[in-house]
Amino acid sequence: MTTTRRRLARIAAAAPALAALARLPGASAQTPRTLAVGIVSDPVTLDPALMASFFEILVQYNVHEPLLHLTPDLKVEPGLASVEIADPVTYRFTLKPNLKFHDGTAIDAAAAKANFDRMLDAATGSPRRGELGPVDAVEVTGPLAFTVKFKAPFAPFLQVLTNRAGMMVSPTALRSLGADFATRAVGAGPFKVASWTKNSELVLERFDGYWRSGLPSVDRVVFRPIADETVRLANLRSGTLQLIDGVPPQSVAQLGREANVSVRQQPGLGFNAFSFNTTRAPFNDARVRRAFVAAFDPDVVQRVVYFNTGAPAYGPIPPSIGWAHDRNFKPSKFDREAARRLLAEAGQSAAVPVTITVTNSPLQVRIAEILQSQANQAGFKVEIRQIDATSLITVLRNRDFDLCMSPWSGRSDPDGNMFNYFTKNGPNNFAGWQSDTVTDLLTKARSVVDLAARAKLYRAAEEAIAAEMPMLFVHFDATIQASSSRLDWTQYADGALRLQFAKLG
Amino acid sequence: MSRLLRDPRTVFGLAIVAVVAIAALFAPWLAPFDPSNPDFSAALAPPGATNLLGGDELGRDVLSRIVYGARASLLVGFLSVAGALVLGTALGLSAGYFGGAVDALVMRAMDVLFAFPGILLALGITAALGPSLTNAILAIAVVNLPVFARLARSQALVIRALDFVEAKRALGFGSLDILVRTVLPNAIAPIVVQASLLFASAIITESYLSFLGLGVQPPTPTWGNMLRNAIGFLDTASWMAWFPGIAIFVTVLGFNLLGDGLRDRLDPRA
Amino acid sequence: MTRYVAFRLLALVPILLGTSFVSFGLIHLVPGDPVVAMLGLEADAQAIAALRAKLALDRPFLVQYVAWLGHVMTGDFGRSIQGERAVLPLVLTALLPSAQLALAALAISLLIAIPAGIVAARRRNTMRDYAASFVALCGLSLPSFWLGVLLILGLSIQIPLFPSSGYVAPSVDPLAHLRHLALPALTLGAALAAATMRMTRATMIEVLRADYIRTARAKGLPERKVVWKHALRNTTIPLVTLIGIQLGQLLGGVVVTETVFAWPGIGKLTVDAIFARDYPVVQATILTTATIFVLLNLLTDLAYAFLDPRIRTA
Repeated sequence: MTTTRRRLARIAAAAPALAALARLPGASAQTPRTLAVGIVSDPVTLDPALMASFFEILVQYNVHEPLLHLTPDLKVEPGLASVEIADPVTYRFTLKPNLKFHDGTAIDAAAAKANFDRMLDAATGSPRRGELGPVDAVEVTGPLAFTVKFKAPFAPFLQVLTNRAGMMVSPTALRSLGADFATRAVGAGPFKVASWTKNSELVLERFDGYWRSGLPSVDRVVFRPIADETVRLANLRSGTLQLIDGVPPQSVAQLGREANVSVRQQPGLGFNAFSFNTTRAPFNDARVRRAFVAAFDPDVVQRVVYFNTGAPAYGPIPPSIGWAHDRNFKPSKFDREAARRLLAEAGQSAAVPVTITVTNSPLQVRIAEILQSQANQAGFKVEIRQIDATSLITVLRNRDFDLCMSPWSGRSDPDGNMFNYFTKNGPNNFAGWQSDTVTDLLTKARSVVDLAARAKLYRAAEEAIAAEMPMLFVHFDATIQASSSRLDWTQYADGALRLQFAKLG
Repeated sequence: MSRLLRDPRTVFGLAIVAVVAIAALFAPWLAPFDPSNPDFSAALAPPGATNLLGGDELGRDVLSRIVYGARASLLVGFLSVAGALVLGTALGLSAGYFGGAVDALVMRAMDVLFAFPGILLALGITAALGPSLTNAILAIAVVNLPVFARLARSQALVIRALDFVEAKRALGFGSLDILVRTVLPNAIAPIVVQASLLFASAIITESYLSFLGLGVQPPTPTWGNMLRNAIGFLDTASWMAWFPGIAIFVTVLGFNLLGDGLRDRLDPRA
Repeated sequence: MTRYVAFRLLALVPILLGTSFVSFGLIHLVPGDPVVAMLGLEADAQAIAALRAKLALDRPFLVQYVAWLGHVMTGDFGRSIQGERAVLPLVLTALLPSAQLALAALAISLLIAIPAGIVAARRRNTMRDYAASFVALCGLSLPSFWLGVLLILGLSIQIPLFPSSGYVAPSVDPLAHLRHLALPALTLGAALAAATMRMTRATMIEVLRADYIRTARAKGLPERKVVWKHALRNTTIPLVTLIGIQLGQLLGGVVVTETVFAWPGIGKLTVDAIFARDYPVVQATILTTATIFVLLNLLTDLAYAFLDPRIRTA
């Protein structure tokens, strides 16, 4: 007993020291002007030619610089180069002079051509190949000038160049690093890759040779992948992180009341939707699909799942693409009786069995549960199947579903949100819907350059899609990010972080 | 039996287990609401008059979900442990009694299973077979198999050497007869004690699997997947995180108390 | 003795082979294609086929296993499917944080459990014993992921004392390292402490009942000496065994704790890799974990044999 008491006394003596430990401020290594960012998941690769998931979106603009820059209101500005449209199939680029990649290689027309060649080469297997459209040739016309020629007019081209397809990487580094390029990527962005510990942190350092002189003002950026949204939020509140992505909608109100953090939301570019499997029963019948849509009340999802952030969706074009979005477009109405009538018309007398497939994201599961409860009251019998995130793509491609979630992160041009989804045999046409009308409309809309004409074509396409409902549109998610109040930064509609403009107060 | 009941731990444990079992068996009559029926007006409602323990993110009554959640937990706990017990005991007794090649084969297989941290093995199996109640039961049963096998084997080794068993063998009784009629009844006590303790850990493992999204599918409530949903609402609706956790804690505590009490009475080694 | 050790080490090989085969089988059974997952919604069929061939995922299962085994013999654990990083350095880097967490948790648990167990044993069947035993039982019944969440709620959100996740290497900033270590170590330590306390108590009770203790008391030795000099020394043997058994729980607990606190150790690496269908990483981490576990068990057995002279001569 005396021994125990002595032990306890020793612990009590240590207590003030322990408390002091806890009270000390600050988080990780204290370098001046380090910005710690919490992201949802580790990027898969840092090679822009091979990026194919939305995990890279947050990181990519900090390591790489595209030829053209996208402003927060989705306008195109010169980036590494400026562009002149000679005619609908010819684009002339002039690179800014004396620019270098992170490894000192000069950014010249030859390097740009090397990049394009790599992306367009089928052997690379780059998703950019499809994104770049019908490119005929890339020609070097001077030390800093090159021309891109198309086989047919391709309207989305400039928007595409503000994203991954426009990111230039150092050809020298590609050769010398080989397979390691994916993890050490040498580009022309405001920060260089200092180190990458998978699942722990990606550390970037300021690049002095960045073309916007004076920027970036932050010396170091540390990306920490934290899958759990609550953990990310907790880290922001405690000051361990200064910026986080993927703020859950239910926390927005609470965060607004806190003094040391500021939450920001903006209409996003993507949509949250479910694909009907139109190649087999019961959703091979358009009436059954329309019945399901009529049974669904998107305002409930807007309120209960999204806490009034973002907006309910009725088509693939989000409000942020102002010139193409039609605010009055509401093709479906929540009407349980109409749903039952449609089912009767389609000859369905008993409850129609449907399985909704979602990944185990709590938000998607909630939406599925709402769909289930509402559809069950309108003559369906819904079950929910949860699958793992990496299985989603397989399930979608093999059409192993009745109704499956297929969200899209969004692109700044409506073509990016529609072509792959609604053309016959488009790579994202998981619904298996074959419509010549829509395919024609979308193909035409890519090659017409006049904005008003394009808008009309897209409106027609949306009407045609609404008539047959191959997809159930649920919501246009807002981009919701939060930061420390000391951070001065710019939020973009595509949700990407361009931290060259960030300032730590 | 009465000696058993004199121990306050056993009494408490039994009481808790009884309450949970009653909740599971009579859930449809006990639960005030349908656990799967969303009531969007009650979304995130704090505990109050209508929803005694509050409403979850879709407005479903938390109390009703907890009552129904007892079903999944008890079912998984019972079936997985029972399965592991039956198969593990059979394997272990055979290995201990027959020795030789049988022993070597069985025990090496058990060693392989035992070398995995239990959680990872359960995770791997449910991920491989797909998330569902049955697969969770299977996974946890496989994880607990080596425990019973080893226990049964050591029991068999001890009992085999006893005089009356030798006598029976000399008298020409068949091996199966000896195993079932003589070895098993004498080996069973510590095995049962182990079972009640593993029941508790089975419930925790199941809740962890549900917490990761690998257990029972929605909208069927289990305490683990209720906690999973609650995580996103820790700052706005913390009761969602408290009640399922308390349910798991109390149930597991009950089984541990019962197991402790049983062990002190039944297992002479303690 | 050396023969015993050599024999035990040799016996490890079939066990580890079996473990690697089982994990290889399991992870390949899992639905979902890592290649498709990696390349994302935007990749075309050609790119997928190309990458799959490049990663040799299109060959039959057994061929892949044997190929993997062959590479492992030469120390090549392949490259991670995600981001193509070399697997061996990945796994080795993850071991350090796990070791730090495990040691901290073990230290916390021993600091709490052993004195508590001793007190409970000596004051057997008094209020102090009942209280301590009950608290231990409660600790055992608490799901550790829930405890972690509650600790985050209490000591990180409501009272911002400790960071709720993340890792800082001690070489970079030792103070920050300790702050980040606090909550995960507490979570894991609590669960361990509960079990260890009960075992210490049980062992201590048995030891205190033994004859030589009665002799020591009869000789008039002060109680303190009886406990610390005689009883404790003899508790060490079963305690070592018990700690060995705890190691299995420790490894499992590390997995749960690391996922809750985003601690970049081997547990989190394994779970993330399973979810991402990253076969080479899963294989390497499970092999590593199993090897560590089996080796630690061997060490425990050897320690046991070393401490108890009766076993050595057997």
